[in-house]
Amino acid sequence: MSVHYQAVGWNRQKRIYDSFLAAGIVVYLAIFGGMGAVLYPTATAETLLIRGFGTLGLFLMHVILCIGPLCRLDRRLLPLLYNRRHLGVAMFLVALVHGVFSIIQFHALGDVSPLISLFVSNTRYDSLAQFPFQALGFAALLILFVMAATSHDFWLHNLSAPTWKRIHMLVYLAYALVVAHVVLGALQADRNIVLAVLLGLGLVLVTTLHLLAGAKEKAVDRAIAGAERDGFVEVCAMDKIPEKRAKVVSLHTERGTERVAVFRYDGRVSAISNVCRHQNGPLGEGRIIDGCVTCPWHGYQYSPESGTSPPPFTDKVPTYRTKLIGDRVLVHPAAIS
Amino acid sequence: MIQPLRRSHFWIWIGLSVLLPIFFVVGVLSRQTITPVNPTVHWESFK
Repeated sequence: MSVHYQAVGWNRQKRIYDSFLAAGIVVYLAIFGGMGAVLYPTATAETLLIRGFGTLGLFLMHVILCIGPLCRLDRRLLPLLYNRRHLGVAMFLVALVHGVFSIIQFHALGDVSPLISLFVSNTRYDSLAQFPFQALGFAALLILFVMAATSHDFWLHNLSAPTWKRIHMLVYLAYALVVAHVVLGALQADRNIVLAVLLGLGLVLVTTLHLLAGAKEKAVDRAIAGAERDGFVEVCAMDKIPEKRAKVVSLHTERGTERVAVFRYDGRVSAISNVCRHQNGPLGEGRIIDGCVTCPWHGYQYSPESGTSPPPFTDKVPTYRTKLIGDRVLVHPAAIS
Repeated sequence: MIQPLRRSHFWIWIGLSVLLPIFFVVGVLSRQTITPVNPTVHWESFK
């Protein structure tokens, strides 16, 4: 909802978030380094740094992957989404340090370029225990780089939200590569069971949350709104919609099945598309603030009647005609604009 | 509008929830014994 391009749009809340994030990273590395030096006195500082940044990146990736489904399952956690991209860029930087240190440590002292050495020093692709796992980590790092580089709203606006989201869904491929990188790398070399247990638990947690959230979303899509009356579709009773909140319904429209957010406010109802123009956030999970529907993800606002953003912004979401018969709310599935 | 993305997201996780645990278990089971540390050698003295 920016009227002009801003390279960096940090606000106080984001600065506080980033400060805590940076402090958390430093504290983790300090604790990991301290404990590592005590438990593994033979490990060098470089090895501890590689392991510290590697495990931190792995942990952050799991946290990031849990945020999306958690927000789908419980809307009280939606504030976590607000700064998820900052967390993602931080995770990429942590992974980058891990990768650079590893390449220097294991590939910089030979007579070939470290990047070439990364791919040719081990070609045991036929062995699980001796698989060239570093190449998997490198591929994951490349994906994370693309995501970090395109994380700014500039790219979101220029690529359009669906394309941008498709690119950023590559994080799932990156996650699979990282899991393979750790299973075939650190887990093969280290007899310590802690990393294996933590990775297994993280894997179960991430996949379970995503499956639960996916099942919940599928149930919403399947629950197509009720009977038709004069082209209008019955949604629910008026008192089933909380004041200044919405009920999200799936409607058969000319563009296929669409989710529509039906808001109730000041004794009236309005229906708009459930899809925010910014990052396709769920408008129906937001509420009406200062007379505007406010997206729960990043606070983009729209008039519940016209679907337009308040001036000077120019975004607009499709709206739908509504009708009240008794206490029943009806919506016409043809979008007005 | 975003239903295709939601659908592909759902199927990606169905696939990952099958493949990743299998890969994890196979990877852990394929671990081989490594040379044990020689207790008489004190590497820290070479630092």
